[in-house]
Amino acid sequence: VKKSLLLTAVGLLLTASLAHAQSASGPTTVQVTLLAEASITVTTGTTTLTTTGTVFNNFTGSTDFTYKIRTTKSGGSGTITLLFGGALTDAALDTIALSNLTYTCSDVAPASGTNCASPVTASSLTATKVADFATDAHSADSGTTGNSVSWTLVNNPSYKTGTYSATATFTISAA
Amino acid sequence: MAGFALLLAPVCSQAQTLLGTQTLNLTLNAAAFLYSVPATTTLTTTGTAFNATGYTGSTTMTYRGRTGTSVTTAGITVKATADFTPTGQGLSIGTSGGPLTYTCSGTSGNGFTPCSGSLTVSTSTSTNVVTIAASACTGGGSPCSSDNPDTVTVNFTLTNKPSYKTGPYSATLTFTISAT
Repeated sequence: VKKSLLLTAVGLLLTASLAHAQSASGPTTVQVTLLAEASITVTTGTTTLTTTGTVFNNFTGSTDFTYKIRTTKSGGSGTITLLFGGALTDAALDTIALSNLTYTCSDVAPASGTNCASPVTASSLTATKVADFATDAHSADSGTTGNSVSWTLVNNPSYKTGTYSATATFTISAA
Repeated sequence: MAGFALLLAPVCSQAQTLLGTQTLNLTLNAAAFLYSVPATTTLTTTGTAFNATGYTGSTTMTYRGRTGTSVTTAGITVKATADFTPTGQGLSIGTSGGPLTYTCSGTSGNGFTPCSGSLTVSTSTSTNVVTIAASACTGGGSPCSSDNPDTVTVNFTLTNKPSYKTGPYSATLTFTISAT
């Protein structure tokens, strides 16, 4: 019995010694799947169309925007489109048809504005192109600036005088 | 049978012998153990595209620790064993200022302090997750922690930049606990 007790005490001392300055580690794998995504900021909140020079010259103006985009690296694509909520309308509810309003684009790469290099007629029925993006397209991390849409409104004598407005929505998508 | 039992009882009584006292010495040294580290931490994003929050996810682990009176460095650290794979896709842990950062929360007080502020995960340097002060111990309340085991939650944030290529990425992080 005496010998048995002595061995137990020695055993306890050894256990404590092995625990000195202990360290342990555990791994974890961080996983993330980056998907195609895009955002757009129209930096010109309200675009005012003005006319200069001789009478019945067209009204013109421009709208600037910044975008961020990442398209799928294989088989991806993206677009920026424009859709109006309705015709140009004044307080008296007189209207100017959108068929009188056209635009051209000035896009900064990776955006391509070939679809609106020539004047495109604004529409409230069909979204019209402002830019296209190819597969594996990447904007600047802070957003690609310097893009604009230039507007031209035909100045017809038939329009009633007044202040007209219409809302246009820019939509960017990435796949 | 009754007579046999009576005969045995005196014999057993005579076998009891006092051997004297026995002193058991036990020295408790510093010790620490980390467990329940999730095998996978998934980062996800919600809300608008390229929002400032980026991709986020958290991982909670438990640990026990006991430090000596003159401990200089004890606690939990984290380090990436390698960069995100696949490499060459724009997403790199080694990028200056990120992109993988984290904050900490969990057991606090009585010698246990989760990391403060936002820290950046590195492939070359172990960074702080929990600091364990001298004479700290897990469980039972003051002067030890009130939690048993102690816990720490690491909240990761991955900056979401347009320049990263699409696809799945992974990186292995190693959490190490030590006590002296």
